[in-house]
This record gives sequence, C-alpha cells and structure tokens, in this order.
Amino acid sequence: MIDEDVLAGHQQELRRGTVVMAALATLETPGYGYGLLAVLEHSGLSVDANTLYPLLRRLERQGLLEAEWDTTESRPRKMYKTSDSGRALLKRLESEWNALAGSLNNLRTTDPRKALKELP
Amino acid sequence: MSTLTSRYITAVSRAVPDSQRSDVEAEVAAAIADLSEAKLDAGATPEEAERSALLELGDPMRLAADYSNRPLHLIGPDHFPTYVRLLKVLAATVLPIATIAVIVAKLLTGADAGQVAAAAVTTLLQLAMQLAFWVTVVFAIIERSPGSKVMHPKWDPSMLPDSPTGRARLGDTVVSVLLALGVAAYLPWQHFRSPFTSSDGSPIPTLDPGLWQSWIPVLLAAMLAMAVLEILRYRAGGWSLKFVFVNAALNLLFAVPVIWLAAAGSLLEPAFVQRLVDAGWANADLQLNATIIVVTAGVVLWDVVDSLRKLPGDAAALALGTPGQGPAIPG
Repeated sequence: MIDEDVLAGHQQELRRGTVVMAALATLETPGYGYGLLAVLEHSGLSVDANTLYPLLRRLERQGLLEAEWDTTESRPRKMYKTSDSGRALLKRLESEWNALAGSLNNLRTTDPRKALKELP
Repeated sequence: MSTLTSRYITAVSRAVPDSQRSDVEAEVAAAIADLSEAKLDAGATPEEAERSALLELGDPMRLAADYSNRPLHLIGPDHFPTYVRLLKVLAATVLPIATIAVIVAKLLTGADAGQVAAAAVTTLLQLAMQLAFWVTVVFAIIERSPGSKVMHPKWDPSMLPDSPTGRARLGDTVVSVLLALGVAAYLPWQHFRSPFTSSDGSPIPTLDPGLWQSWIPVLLAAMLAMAVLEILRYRAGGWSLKFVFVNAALNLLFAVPVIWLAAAGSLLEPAFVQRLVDAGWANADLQLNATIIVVTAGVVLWDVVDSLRKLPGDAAALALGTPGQGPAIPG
C-alpha cells in the first residue's frame, strides 16, 4: 500500500508550482485574496490561505500582478489583476506544463524496455 | 477590532521589515476579516469565526517570514555543508592545540595534577562552546545577507576526504609492538644498567626504586599486554570495538600512574634529579616531570583517538571482506 504521508508529500510537491499558474489565470478578471481562495477551492485546486496571501504579495512585487486597494466597499480590500508580464509568464508556464505532460505521456505509452535501448 | 485579531496583526507586523510593515498589516487585517466573514456566513459564532480564521493563517512568525521572504532556518542548505566542514576543521585543530598549550603553561607554573586536569577540561569545554557559538553566529548572518548565495565555495570532487583503507597495517603493528616492548624493557634497564653513575661508579636508576614494590610491575604488565594486544589485533584484521576498549584501558593503566606519580614528584629517583641539577640543569625536577606528563598524555590521547578514527574503516573492511594488506580472517 502507499504510505499516506509519502503520497501527501509528493502531491504537495507536484501542486506547488500550479498555484502560481492558477492565480495568474484566475486573476485575468480582477479579484481579491479571499475571492481567489474560494474560486481555487471550487475548481479543485485548494490552497492554504497562509500560502496564497504571501504568494499574491510576492507575485505583485515581481510585477506579475497589479494591485490596488479598493475602498468602495464596507472595508478596504486589495484587488489583484494579472499584468501584461504576468500573462506572458503564464503563457510560458503553460507551454512548459504541456511539454512536461507530453513527455510524461510518451514515457508511459512506449515500451519501457525499448525506451531504455534508445539511451545513448 | 477585537483583541485576538489585533494581537495577531501586531505579531505579524513586528516580524516583517519596516518598509513592508503598514502594507502587510493592512493585508493581514483584510485577510482575517474575509476569512472570518466566510465562517460567519457558514453559521459560526463571531468568536469561533475569528479563532478559525487565525488558525487558518497559522503561526504569525511563519506568515511574516512568507510575506517578507525571510528564511525560517538558522543556516540553510547553501551554507550548511561549509558550516559543518569548518566546525570539524576547527575542532580538530584549535581545540587540541589550545588545550595542550594550557596544560603546558599550567605545568610550567608548578600546578598539581588536579589543577592541570581542571584547567584542561574547562579550557576544552569553554573553547568548544565559543567556537560552535561564534561560527554559528557568523553563518547565520551570512545566511541573512543578500547576495551570499553566490559566495559559498563551490563543491569540487577534489574536496572528497580520503576513504579509510581499513584492515590492520603491518607497519603500524610492528611500530606499536616495538614501542610497547621498548618501554617495557626500559623499566628494568634503567634500574640495573643506567648510564648515570654516582661518584663511586654504581648506577643511579632514573625511576624511584621504591616503585618496584608498587607501580613499576603494573606499568610493565600494561606495556607487555599492549604488545600482545597489537599482535592479536593484527591477526584479527583490524580494530574492533572490543580492541578499542581494551587498548584504552591498557593506555589508562599505564598513563594514570605515570602522570600521577610525575605530578606528585615521586616518579623520578631524587639522586638522579640531583645529579642533573649538579650538572647545571637547575629546574630539572619541574621541567622533566612536566615533559613526562605532556608526552605521556599526548601519546595516550593520540593512540586512543587513532584507534577510534580507524575503527569505522576497519569495521567496514572486515564486514566487506575486501582484501587488505593484513592477513585473511580465519574462518
């Protein structure tokens, strides 16, 4: 049987990079932290609040998100929006993601012994 | 703003740099408000909502570290190998040198065995603590300085330590046996055939003849047993834990009486010392005893440390059964 802790550790490693992609993709439509948290939760990409909030700030500092305080509501909220460089980065990450998935698929579908023979 | 929330925000903002403080405070406040509002909508009481919102954000120090991108470790993976290597080098060089220096200084000022031992142990402990502490402080600062990631020395294959060769070495064994037999032979030789003679031509022994009734037989037995041990160890193919223990015990059996007697001034024959004083060596008693203590302690310490150092390699070689320079293991 698979050890639950081992599984959880590997899953977490696999998911880590996807949060950035999910945030950049979702914030094409402007939104605030908690809204993004809820959207990600709904779409099965659940992420901890204490991971997401600092991540949003980091992406903002890297210029991948644009942020401004929205004071029209009852209390101020920081609204985030994917910037142009954020969109460009997302595109690169997506093609990387697809390339990885493609390579992984190739490995899974070819006969493993044959793949080994092709190694130099 | 309720107490728990404001306390949480204060705890976070205290741990982020000044420049980000007000911004992070506002962000955390908004996050807590949003999270607890969601809990309230789900039917929680205000207290429960606040509590679970704070629990969800977790340890404020960790959150602050995530916000400000600061490390949550003292010394990270970039510097840890260098840190450990430096500590090992310092422990292997500075500690023994400083301790021996203190021992020599104490002996030269005429301290007795207890004072010398106390000074040596205190120096060793204090110096070890100081070394570990300051090296750690320096590395913790390096870890936190910007740009330090490119500074650490790049690892290179030439930095690999020599692999232990393992197995008993014939040369080592011969030297050890000769040394043990030499010391054993010196004990009767200095008594009957001492090169120092009194005015009437009879030999003056270097060691107090009264010791033949007490310690000299013990020293003789320890040295002969040491020679036997070396031969047995060679036949067995190297150090094992059992040999290390017996070797240490025999070393102590020899060194403790010698050092004790030398420190008490009852090791050397007074007539022999007087002869040296007459020959012009005014401080012969003190300096000779001090030399005996330092040399004995040094040799014994080295022998024990050396056996411990070779133990892992020899044990590994024995377990692997790799052909070494020593004889094959019987059976």
